[in-house]
Amino acid sequence: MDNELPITWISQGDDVTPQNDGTFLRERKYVFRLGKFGPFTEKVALLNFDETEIRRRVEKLRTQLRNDQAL
Amino acid sequence: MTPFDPVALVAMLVAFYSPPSVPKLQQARAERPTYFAGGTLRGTSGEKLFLPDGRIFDLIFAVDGPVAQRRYQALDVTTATGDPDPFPLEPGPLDPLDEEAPIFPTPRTGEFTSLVAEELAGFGASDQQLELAGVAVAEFGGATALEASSAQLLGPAAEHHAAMRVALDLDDPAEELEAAGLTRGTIEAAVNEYADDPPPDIAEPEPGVTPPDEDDHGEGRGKPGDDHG
Repeated sequence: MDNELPITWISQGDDVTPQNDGTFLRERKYVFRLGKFGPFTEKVALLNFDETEIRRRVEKLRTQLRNDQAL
Repeated sequence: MTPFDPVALVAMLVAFYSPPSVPKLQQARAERPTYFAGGTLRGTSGEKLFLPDGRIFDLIFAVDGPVAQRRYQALDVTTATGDPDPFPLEPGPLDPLDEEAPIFPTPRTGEFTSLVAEELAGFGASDQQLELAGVAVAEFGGATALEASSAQLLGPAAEHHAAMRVALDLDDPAEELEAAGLTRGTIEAAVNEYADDPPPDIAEPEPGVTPPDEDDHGEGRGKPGDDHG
């Protein structure tokens, strides 16, 4: 069982999504795999962008996958 | 479209949308649609994911039970539902692409060479005819006679034509006209005096008065009130 779940980045880039109120939501889009799982697609808002946010999400997903594998 | 990975979907749901519930599932579907691979949430409680390829996944265990018993899952219930698809897809006119088939087949060089050889063989008779035509042109002996007749007929005609053009350029048209008596020193206003009587003046008709009809002679034309009786 692969408990390491190394991350493999597939793509990163900015993404713009029109909102119902006429504004645009600008985000950074991350597509990656964790081990053999995925692809995972996570978007982090560019407004008050926090570089550590994607790392936290990746760790959450990785932890959850490890728990599932342990069952 | 992002391929569907049920393990990734469950990991995402547990990580970001706990505790499990149908509204949370719908929120996840709206905020992270790529994990759902274009599927839609339907079913009795909206906990089933219907994928475009026909697969059905139950995403919440014990959706109608207590919250403590609920948990996210990705249980393939495509065949367990037993409900036939009310709108089954019919086989279309197009076949799926064979990804193993080569897009560009390997060139067959031998065939091209043989094709060229066959076409060249077809021109064999044409080569002979072309050769005969070349010999016929080379054996034509009328060139000397043609040159002689050209020197005899066309040469003097060209010289005569050139001499005539030179003579015409030297001639002055005024001299020719004078010799013919067709020239005058001045242009006369009238060659002969105008002796005819001028035509009589015609009185101008007054506006608004109808001229009398010559054929009518004034008869039969009366005023509107001049009735006979």
